[in-house]
Amino acid sequence: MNVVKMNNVEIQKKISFTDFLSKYGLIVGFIILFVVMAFLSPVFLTKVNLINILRQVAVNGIISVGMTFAIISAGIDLSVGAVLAFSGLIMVMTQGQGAVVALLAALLSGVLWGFVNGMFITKGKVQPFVVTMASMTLVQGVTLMVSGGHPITLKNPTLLRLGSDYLGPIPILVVVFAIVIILGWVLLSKTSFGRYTYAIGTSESASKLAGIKIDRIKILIYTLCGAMAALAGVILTSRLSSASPIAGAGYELDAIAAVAIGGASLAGGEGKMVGTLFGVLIVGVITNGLVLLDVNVYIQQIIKGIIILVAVLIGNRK
Amino acid sequence: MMKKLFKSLVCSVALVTGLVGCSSASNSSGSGNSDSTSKDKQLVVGVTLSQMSDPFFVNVKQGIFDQAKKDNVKVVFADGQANTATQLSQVEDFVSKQVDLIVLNPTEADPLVPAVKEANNAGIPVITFDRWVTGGKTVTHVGASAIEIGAQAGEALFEYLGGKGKIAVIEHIPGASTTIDRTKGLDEALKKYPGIKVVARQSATSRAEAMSVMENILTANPDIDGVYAYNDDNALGASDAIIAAKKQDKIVVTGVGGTAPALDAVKQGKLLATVDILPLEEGKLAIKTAVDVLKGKKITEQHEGRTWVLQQSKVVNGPQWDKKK
Repeated sequence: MNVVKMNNVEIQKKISFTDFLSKYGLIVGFIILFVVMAFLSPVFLTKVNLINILRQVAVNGIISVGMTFAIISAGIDLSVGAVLAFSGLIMVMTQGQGAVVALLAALLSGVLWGFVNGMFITKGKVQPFVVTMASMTLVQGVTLMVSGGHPITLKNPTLLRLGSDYLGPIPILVVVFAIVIILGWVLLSKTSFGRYTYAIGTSESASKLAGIKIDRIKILIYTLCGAMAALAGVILTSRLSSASPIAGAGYELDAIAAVAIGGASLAGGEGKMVGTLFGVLIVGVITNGLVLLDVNVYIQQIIKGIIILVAVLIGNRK
Repeated sequence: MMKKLFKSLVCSVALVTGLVGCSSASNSSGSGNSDSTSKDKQLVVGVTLSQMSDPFFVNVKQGIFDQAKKDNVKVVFADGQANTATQLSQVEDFVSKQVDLIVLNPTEADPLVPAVKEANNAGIPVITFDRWVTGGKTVTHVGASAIEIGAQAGEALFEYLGGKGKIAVIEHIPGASTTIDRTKGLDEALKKYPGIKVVARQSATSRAEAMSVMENILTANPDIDGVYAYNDDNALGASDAIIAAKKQDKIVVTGVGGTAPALDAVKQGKLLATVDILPLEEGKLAIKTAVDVLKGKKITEQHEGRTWVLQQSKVVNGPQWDKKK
């Protein structure tokens, strides 16, 4: 991005190389990881396993789409894991009213929490980290109180199908993930909402001078985060055929990791939906591969940490 | 926009007042406890459980309060929130409230030793519950034995498999004392059944994670015969994956804990068996023992090298088990 202003040809050459690395390093890294896993495990490349990976990343992937917007706008949403559990609970509690009502109620509950987050961040002028940390604790508490600490079983057959049925050879929840990521990509790179998100993340004061309605965009961003968390909650609940009040704990960190691996800067203004997609896939492939190889549990964590660091290093070379 | 803002404000205010109402209610009952002790000498027991977001402890709490009502004991209750520091300050609160006895279900063994010592210094007897601490003076331990339960679950599974076959193991939180003890129990059972081979040993800390882990294990080892899960949630997650892969007729799963969803799953034939620790009974036993101690009864029962009032557990199985025979 900075290349434009440079005149020195040599520097430009050098930068275009590192630019290449930062642009395609992630994809190259993913391919290397993929090939290594394929060599190490004979079952890695089977159709069943590849579909497994996609199914396992769907929940984190959907959350990460919302998180991408928050991070590019120089914000963050720590409440997504808690909202996920809450929405799942709402869906299970309203399942008697029919699948459509339960689904809408669950999504609406996520939208509501996201909207409240956005209001406190903009009208209350509190940093997103603090607001969403507070709402994470609050929502967790409400979820535990409402559920009494017990997991509740999902029985509605239509809702159960969402997590277990296939559309042709592809699980429905993978289709949902694909639609979400495509819509996320369109929203981020093809609409004014996406451009404003980048603008706010790059410089909030400049955006204000340019006449962007910052508060409105931010409220929309956190509402979107809440909605995505709720959708992930619906899918996870359906997959597990029950809503657990402690589901989703730590999911915010998984999403942040995926978005960061995808090349987004936590300082804002940078990031791409395609990057997030590969970030999510890299985390998924590592998790899947280490279990396939039956790697010791302690070593798995060490390897995961190292791979995340390396991926971010390659992606962020500037 | 203003209308929406107003609405959301009203919602949150209503929520907050509701919550404050709850907490102040429990506070007043707490302070009421100490008042009544001085008047009619009702026994007051401080109880802190490690984590109320775990369904197992919700049942334990129920047992504790049921028995306390029966024995006319006041319970001052605290949720450790799986946080050692929180629990330490809760024990300190119990000491300053001068309860007659403390039932401690420590989140972790070592860091809560100072809490026990503080109670020792104040002359308040301490009973450890379900998990123990590594120092300080405790009157006795109350609970089931994680080693024994681990062995029971293993033996049930291996007996069902006819003493030979390949199994996958899904452990719980790495490094937790219960995980370590379950492993000891599992190893004991494996020694008795040399024909059983462990082909995968992974860990999961939620039903969702257990499902993913199981899917991956199934990919790598499609020919396994059984799954030994360290707790019920992991067993249910594994069973979710096995049912999704349509292998429920070939692979059986055992869990440990006796949570309601797992007992249901056993009844429906989704799990082969679980070891029911009877959390309700375990909670009752804690209060019974507390009353015994306060009435001056000497606890002499021994188990695994310590004073221990042992909670019996039982293997629960269902239609899947019967099918084989």
